[in-house]
Amino acid sequence: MNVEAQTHNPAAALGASEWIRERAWIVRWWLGGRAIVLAVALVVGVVGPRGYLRADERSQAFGLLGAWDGRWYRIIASHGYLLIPGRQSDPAFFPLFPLLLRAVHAVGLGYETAGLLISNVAFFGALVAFNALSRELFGQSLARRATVYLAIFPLGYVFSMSYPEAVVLGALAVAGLAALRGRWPVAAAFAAAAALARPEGLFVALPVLAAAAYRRRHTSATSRGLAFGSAVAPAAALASFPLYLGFALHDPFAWSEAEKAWGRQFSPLGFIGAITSLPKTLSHNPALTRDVVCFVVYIVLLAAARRAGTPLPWLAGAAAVIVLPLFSGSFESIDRFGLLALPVFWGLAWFGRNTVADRWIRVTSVILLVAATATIPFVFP
Amino acid sequence: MRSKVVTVLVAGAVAAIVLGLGWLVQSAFLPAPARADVIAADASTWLSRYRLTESTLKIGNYPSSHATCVEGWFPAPGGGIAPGTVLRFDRSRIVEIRGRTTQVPAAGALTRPRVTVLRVALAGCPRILARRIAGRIDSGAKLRIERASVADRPALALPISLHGLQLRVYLTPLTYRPIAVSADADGLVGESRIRLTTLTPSLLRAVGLNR
Repeated sequence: MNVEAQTHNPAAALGASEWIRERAWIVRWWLGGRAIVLAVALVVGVVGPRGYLRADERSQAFGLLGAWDGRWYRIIASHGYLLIPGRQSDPAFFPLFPLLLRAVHAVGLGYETAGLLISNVAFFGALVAFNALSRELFGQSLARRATVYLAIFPLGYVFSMSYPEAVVLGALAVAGLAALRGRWPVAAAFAAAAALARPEGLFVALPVLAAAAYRRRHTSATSRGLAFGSAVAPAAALASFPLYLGFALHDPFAWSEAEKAWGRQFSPLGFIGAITSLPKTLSHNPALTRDVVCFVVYIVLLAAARRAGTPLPWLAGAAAVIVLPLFSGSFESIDRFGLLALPVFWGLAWFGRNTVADRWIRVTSVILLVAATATIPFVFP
Repeated sequence: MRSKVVTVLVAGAVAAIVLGLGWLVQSAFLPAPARADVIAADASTWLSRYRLTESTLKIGNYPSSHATCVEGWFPAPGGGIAPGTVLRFDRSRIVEIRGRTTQVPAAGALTRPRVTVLRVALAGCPRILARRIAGRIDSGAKLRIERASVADRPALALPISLHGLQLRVYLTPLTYRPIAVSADADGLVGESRIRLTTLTPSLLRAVGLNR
């Protein structure tokens, strides 16, 4: 068996136990990062200030992690979609996470518990897939650092909340990895899943398309069709959502209608509006500072990711994830959206390539992760 | 050429399968909203389209009276303009701007608190009712829709609470447009027929709000 085959099929080559042992460090970092988030959430939930949380969210041990959008996902899972024009309503939220909530709820768990379980387990899967993808693109050293940084990333508390981010992160990494390995049905399925969970999932189409184009001369017409079909899959999955809303609510545009009520309306000049209105917006909502800082940091990290040798399609997709929301006229939640721009973590790993920087990033990340988790009652991610 | 056609056909088939499966999974596994929630949402939508309601009120044994509720931007006490509500009952007025309520009673008008609260609720101010109904849907509380009649015609009744009162908003059975309101304040029962009206400058002048 040659080296390439070993890299491509480690489970078969090394055996399941060795495969698991090789990734034991991922388990440790996952457990460590999640332990921090869960512990802080528990402490803040029990003895911390109530902030903007609802009473029912404070009544449970980890209620903090089911707050904000988590409540909307639970409403969709339990009651279905309902558009209330002019009001914040649930068609603004994508359907995959509520579908998963229903699936886990069906085995007897409450929606709150189901949300936390899905997110935290999916995040472990996401770390494993992200590490494999990073190894394929950059080699073991950078991959390991990037995976560690992802496990303890300051905004990473969202991966433990009842939010779809952990699921999407895993789906993006698996789709990218499968495309690199030419496993098109897997790439199509996970790319579609990512787009059905968050609109950012659409941009995985760029690296998948690049992989399809790269392999086009060495495969049959059918295989090429599968490859390009995988690149189109996220758009098709995304289109299935308005199609469903059209049937269920008799309004295929319910998503954009609901987004308006959430203060998001895309326009070509929205970017300018987001910048020019920033001083006024910050004076009303100082918490937005975090989003603005994250935006700048993400852009710097994308530049670093380029230096690390990140392929352009991945960078373009990540740039779209970070910059496009500004066209809705607001910086709001960019801190969270950026979590789905995988090159951000490759850029951070590039910065951490010497021991001192690496330690500094780890320590700072843990401190910021604790602080960021403690802000949940006051600032929505 | 043939291989290009095959490529496009296979890619199209993948896209179609993903689209179909995506729709199928959502249709099969996501619950449809409860009928009462859909009706309440439609009623809330009707109300949020309007800023003016004209109504005819009947409270207990008191004579019938007319009310007009206008919601919009009005000159504020501290200067400038602010969102508010102006309620006009025959000759008296209640103005709420920036959370400050001013009552201007006419001579001989009903000013007992219980009656005033009922009148405010029965005036059917559209945004207030819309917010209340939407809030009930958001809360996840189980809504109830009952069969009812208004002026001997079939209607649907949507029970909600407002200002501590138990209110029923009556809707047309097909379009769910709000047409009447009833309320009970400690045994004092009132009802009103409401007419959602598009606000025009002439109507604004007619209700004495032409500034």
